[in-house]
Amino acid sequence: MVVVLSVIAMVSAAVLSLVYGKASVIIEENAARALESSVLEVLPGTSTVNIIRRSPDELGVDDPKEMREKEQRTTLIYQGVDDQGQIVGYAFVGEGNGYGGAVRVLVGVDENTDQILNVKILNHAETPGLGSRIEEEGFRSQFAGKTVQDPIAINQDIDIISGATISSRAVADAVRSGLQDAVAVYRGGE
Amino acid sequence: MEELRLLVSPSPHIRDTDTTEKIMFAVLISLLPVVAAAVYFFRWEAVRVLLLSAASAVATEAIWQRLRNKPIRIGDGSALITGVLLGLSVPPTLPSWMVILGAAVAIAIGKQVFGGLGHNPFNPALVGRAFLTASFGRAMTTWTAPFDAVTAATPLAMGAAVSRIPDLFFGSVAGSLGETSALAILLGGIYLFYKGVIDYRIPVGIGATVAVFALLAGENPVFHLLAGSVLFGAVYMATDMVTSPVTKAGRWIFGVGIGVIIMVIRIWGGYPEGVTFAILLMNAVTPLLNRWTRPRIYGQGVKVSE
Amino acid sequence: MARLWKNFANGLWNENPTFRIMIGLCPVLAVTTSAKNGVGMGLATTFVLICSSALISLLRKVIPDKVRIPAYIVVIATFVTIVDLFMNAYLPDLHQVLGLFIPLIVVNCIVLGRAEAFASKNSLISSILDGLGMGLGFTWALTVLGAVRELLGSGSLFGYQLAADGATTIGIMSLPPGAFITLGILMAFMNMIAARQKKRATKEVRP
Repeated sequence: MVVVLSVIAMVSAAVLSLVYGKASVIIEENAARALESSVLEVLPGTSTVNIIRRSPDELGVDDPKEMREKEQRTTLIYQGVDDQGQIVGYAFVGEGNGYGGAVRVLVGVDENTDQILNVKILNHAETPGLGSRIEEEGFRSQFAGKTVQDPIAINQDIDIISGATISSRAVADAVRSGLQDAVAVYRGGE
Repeated sequence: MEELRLLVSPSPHIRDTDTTEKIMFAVLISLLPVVAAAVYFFRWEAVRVLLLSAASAVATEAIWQRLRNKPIRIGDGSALITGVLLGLSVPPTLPSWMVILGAAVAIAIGKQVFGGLGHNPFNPALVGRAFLTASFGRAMTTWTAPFDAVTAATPLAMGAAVSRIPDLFFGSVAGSLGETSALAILLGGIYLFYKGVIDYRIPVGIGATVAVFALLAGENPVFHLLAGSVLFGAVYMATDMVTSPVTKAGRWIFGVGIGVIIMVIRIWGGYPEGVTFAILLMNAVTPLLNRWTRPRIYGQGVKVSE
Repeated sequence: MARLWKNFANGLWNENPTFRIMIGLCPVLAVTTSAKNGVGMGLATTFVLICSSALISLLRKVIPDKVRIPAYIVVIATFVTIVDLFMNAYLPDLHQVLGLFIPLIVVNCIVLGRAEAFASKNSLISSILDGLGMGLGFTWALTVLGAVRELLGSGSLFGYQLAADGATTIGIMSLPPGAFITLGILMAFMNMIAARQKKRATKEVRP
């Protein structure tokens, strides 16, 4: 009986590695395309997207454990470049605690003024019809023009969606903390 | 000599004059101050909501019982009470069709599906209210100020600093139709207690817990008692005899439990008001409480000493 | 021939896995927020059902009884992984919406249940038909449930917005309680129809 089970397992493994090899190529392409289209939304005019990985301390490390820790503290910045080669701006992903789970946002920031251009809600699990209204243009447009200097907090410079305090706060938190990290990393080297 | 005829009948052998109808009638009378306050503060909206809710509840029960070939028992008044209580716990501006749907759900899903009066585990009016809150979040959180029907925030949402205690007590604040006037609720509660319909343990348990919790949390206890639907829930919703414990100890625990959950939701939770869910949660625990606090049968479980 | 038809038709109505046998309800409640999700999930499960039932039926004389459960699971998991990878590559939107529930098809009671109860004891053709019938029965149940919840909860059907732009929808239908309530009502309907069918059947038998 060991033989039968082993044979079944080996055949299964063989088949799956074949399928996986073929599929993973397509899956990665899809992911890249999805990311690009999102960045295009928050950094209008972009035609190419560069991915910049920077960590707050740019020290070279050899120890693998330290490398992994450094990776986890890395911030991913998506830099948008238009077809003339000019840098349009940079975008980052922010995360906040919403009512039904994590709320992830993609924020586009202008290259020259460091002002927020646009906010896109990537994932959320908020209540349909109430918290999900954070996707609305009216709510998201409040963030445009803000910089690291602004408080970006509910009941201060951001109005909440009535009845959806927690969802609104999640977005504000995500944008604010993400912006601080992103600016520090993007401009940190200069 | 006449033959003595000994008739053997099944229990109960000791009868009281209480009937379902009488109890429901007493509750209706006790609701008069609250209804009057609702109409005084919110005018036509109050009349519209209460009439529609009551009619829809009674009609749903009649239709259900007819479809299921059961005797139609709307005369016992329990559906009417559910309808009125539901109407009193929604905002005055709730659209009519939502009121009708909510009352129908309260009776159909909150009560009849389980087998009718006495079989439901949850307070039917609160089931209807929870359904409405989950379905129509925006409509259920739009409040108006009394008299002039301008959109306003409830005292709980605004916080203790902004609210004035006399307003909270007499009822000129924004809120659901029944919860605003503490005075009216207290009058109704006293009448119910005098008539022996409610047991003091549940409302006192809730109120005391809310006040103590507020004090411990550094908030104003009077504000927490008067703002929102604590009083209304304590007197009319939590005391529903079908869904609350039977034993005295059980009722204390029930009341304290509700009070704790209300304050936890109010202080740390996502909603400004926690009464609906607090009562529904403790309704679920009621069978367990009944089991835990079952009185010991005399002589059982006592060790015989040599 | 009639027996083969019965193998297939069983899963569609008489022994509908969702409404009558009531197994595999977890994805039924979680995934049916829209009709399209219901169809997608149902068809994915149907594919796994057909393939795994077929293979297990083919191997039924070969797999020793003692290791049959692990063997079935490996077979089922292989097909589920294939479906998962396929959907990730070619149907990424649907894949993201269904998310965690695609891998969960492995432990869907319907798949393992039919493998154990039917495919391990019946011929290849019968097993394939049974898998197809059960799968399609599951699919139409999911689709109906998804359609009702989508219509009442979002005002659309298969993605086509039917309700006017600002119309109020019954939010709870998109949430889990709505799923339970809708499932209960649909089951009540099915029971009513089944009871009427039985009454008619007994009437015909009696002279």
